[in-house]
Amino acid sequence: MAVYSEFEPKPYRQQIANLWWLERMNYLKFILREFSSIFVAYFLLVTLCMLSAMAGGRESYLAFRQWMASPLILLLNVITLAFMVFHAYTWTLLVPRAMLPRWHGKALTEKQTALPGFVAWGLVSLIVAIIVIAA
Amino acid sequence: MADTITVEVARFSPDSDSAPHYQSYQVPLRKDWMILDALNYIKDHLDGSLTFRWSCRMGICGSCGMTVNGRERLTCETLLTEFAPGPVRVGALRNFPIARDLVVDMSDFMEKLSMVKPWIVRKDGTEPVREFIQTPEQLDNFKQYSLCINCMLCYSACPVYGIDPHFTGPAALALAERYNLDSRDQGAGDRLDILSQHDGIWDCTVIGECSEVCPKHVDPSLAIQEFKLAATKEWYKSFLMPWGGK
Amino acid sequence: MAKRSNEPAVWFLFGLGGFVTAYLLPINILLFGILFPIGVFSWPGYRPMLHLLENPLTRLYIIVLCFFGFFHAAHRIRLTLNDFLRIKHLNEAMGYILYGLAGLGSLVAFYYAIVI
Repeated sequence: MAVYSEFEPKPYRQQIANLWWLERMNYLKFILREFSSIFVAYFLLVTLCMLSAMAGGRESYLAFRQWMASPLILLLNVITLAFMVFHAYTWTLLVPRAMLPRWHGKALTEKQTALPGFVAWGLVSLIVAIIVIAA
Repeated sequence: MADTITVEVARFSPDSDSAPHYQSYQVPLRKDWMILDALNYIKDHLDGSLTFRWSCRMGICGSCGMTVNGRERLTCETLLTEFAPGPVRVGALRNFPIARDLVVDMSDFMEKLSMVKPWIVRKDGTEPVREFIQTPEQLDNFKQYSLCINCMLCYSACPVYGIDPHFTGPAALALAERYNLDSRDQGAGDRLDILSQHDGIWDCTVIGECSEVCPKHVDPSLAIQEFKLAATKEWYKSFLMPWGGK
Repeated sequence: MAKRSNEPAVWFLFGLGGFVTAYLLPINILLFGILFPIGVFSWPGYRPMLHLLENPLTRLYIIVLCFFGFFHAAHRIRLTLNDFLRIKHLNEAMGYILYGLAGLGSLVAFYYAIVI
């Protein structure tokens, strides 16, 4: 039998703010971390430009070198470097947030899991630098 | 130290308000009081209409989750003096509908918990005749994820859930992973079917705030990323070796 | 039972791309984007650079860097646009556009890696 009831829930539906990422430092750091991907795309495109310049012969390569020295591009590159370092740093620290490997049965700490990443970063950078500068 | 502290509490009455508003109360600043004690003081002496959930007052039942000065906290574990000289703002958990004052509607959370099959799934068809033997190492694999007290702080902290309530959410996914990693369970495949979806693990963008606010250090973010790794392995296995069984 | 998402395919590329871009890009930008243009070190000449690029290892390096890097960037940009601009309903369209562009970029890189 239907029972008449006056009660009808009218909850207040909270909406997340459009600028939610400004509400906490952790959120802002997250958005900046993800935005580094735009600069990844930018520098990969610059790399493609360099390859294209190389394919075009000595003159286009020299023109590319001139272009890279222009103030606007230089500024962009500095910003990109900052974001890339931020990306590498946060990415390596995220590895232990995705897995905590075990060594002889004992779980590794976050620092121990992240350390090989930093070492790899340093080594790889060194090797690339030596190869390119020696050329 | 002053005698009293101003506590601003979010009030919302569905019959008379269109949106929550803050009401200020003067509460004694006792050095051993938690925010929960302040709320109970308000209800007992100043304003009996204040409505909020609480139970164990020792950080194990998960009832008293709220936002204190914008951060998710268990109010029974949050010292009042942490905010001296004040004022301190107490609000309801975010991302859930507010039923009244500091009480939120938990039904979506309860649904999410049930949908992940949070029980031991056996596929071999036999009924157990004795307990399953489990070594301490096997327990260690999932113990951390079993410590969840369902306080919902992680859902309040998660912007992905805030933007899209279809997202399964940190606690439910950590619970699923708890069973996946349990050596007695054989249901990982079932849970992958349910959760390796766009509203499941793949919505998570590793913001990590869920693990930051968890009062029991469950680390749901870690559980979700482990789940993603397992799902990826399974996907490539079925892609590269489609003849294999589940 | 719902069919499992195909997201793992892209997520794996995204993951590898994260490592590749994290460890290889900073030094590349430092050298080619800053130190060479401002003259701290001198640019490699055309001939030495060509010689370097003709090495099969360098060709592989370029392909790996660009393929995983572009997909990493495309995936991350798609997810960030979801969170940042809250356009989740356009998720599938964004996927096609962004991964399509990533594929295009990888093809161009592959072309140069072979041709030079």
